[in-house]
Amino acid sequence: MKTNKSIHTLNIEQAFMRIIFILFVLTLASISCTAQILFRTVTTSTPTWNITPTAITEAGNDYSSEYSSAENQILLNAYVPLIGLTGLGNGKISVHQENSTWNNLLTLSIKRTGPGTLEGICVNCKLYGSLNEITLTNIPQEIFNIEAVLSIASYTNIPLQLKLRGVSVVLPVKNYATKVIFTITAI
Amino acid sequence: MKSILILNLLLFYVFHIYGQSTATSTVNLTLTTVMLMDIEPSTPLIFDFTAPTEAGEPIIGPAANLTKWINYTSAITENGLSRKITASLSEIIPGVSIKIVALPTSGSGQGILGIPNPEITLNTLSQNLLNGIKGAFTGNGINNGHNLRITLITNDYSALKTLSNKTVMITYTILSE
Repeated sequence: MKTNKSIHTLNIEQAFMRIIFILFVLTLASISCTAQILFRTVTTSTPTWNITPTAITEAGNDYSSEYSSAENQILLNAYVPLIGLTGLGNGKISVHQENSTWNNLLTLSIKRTGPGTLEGICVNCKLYGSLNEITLTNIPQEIFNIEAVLSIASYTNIPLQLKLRGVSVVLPVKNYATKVIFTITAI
Repeated sequence: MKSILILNLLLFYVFHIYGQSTATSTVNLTLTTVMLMDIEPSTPLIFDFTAPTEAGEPIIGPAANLTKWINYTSAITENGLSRKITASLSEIIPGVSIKIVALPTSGSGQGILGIPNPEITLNTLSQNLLNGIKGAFTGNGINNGHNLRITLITNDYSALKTLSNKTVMITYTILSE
């Protein structure tokens, strides 16, 4: 009898553990499904901006110093939850430059050229910030902000234009590359 | 317990993906080698010797010409060889020397421009006019680059002959040193 009771207790414990486990799995699965709405995210599917200056045909001339990309060269998607894990529903999008092969005579700047598209219904959602050009450095600088007041704010295709200055034959011949990095954080 | 561990790892991955807070775009600039040079203006130079009016006087040589300018554009790799500009003459005129020197740069040029050599007497072999050109451009047209001072002098009266419309060509070449 003592042995039977012990087995019975064990079965109850096992069943309890199984229920706990199932609940745990369901909870985490639910969180995983909704993970996207709990975090600020920023994405872009923009292709690389390749600049090849027009060949110089007249001796004595230099390359054109300045190059502008299309006004929608970069299409950014930014997502701000109503109440995120790290604070209320807002997001500051910053931008900086991370050089791999670059030259200090080259300056890259960026400006927002439009508001993008607000996805879904979002009352009082705001995307705001200067439309002025920002000269990129390796230190993040604010480019625009998003606020979600009564709903989740999801802006897509926020257009950004790049400008490159300082192109010259004075620079050593090579392939230069740099990364433009966007970061979304709390305001 | 193993299942929980695997699930946690999976969820960490899911959170990591969905929770990313950065996006990246790339900018590439491709610069290629350039080596261009020309002389401005391209019109011919005309030099006339003037006969003396007084017996016993030498013929009067033409004044030095300062109308020609060398323009160039050069782009090289970081450790690439610098460039030089040479000059040579198509043929020697008996009794006459043609001398040339490139003056220091002026105008709108930038970069590591050429260093002028001392005046040379042209012959049919190439001689250095400028050395040490790296990544640089002089600007285009007259008053940009190196002004050339070209002079004709008699070097041997016994070899002088009467010539009319004798054309010789100065060839300038830019090349790696």
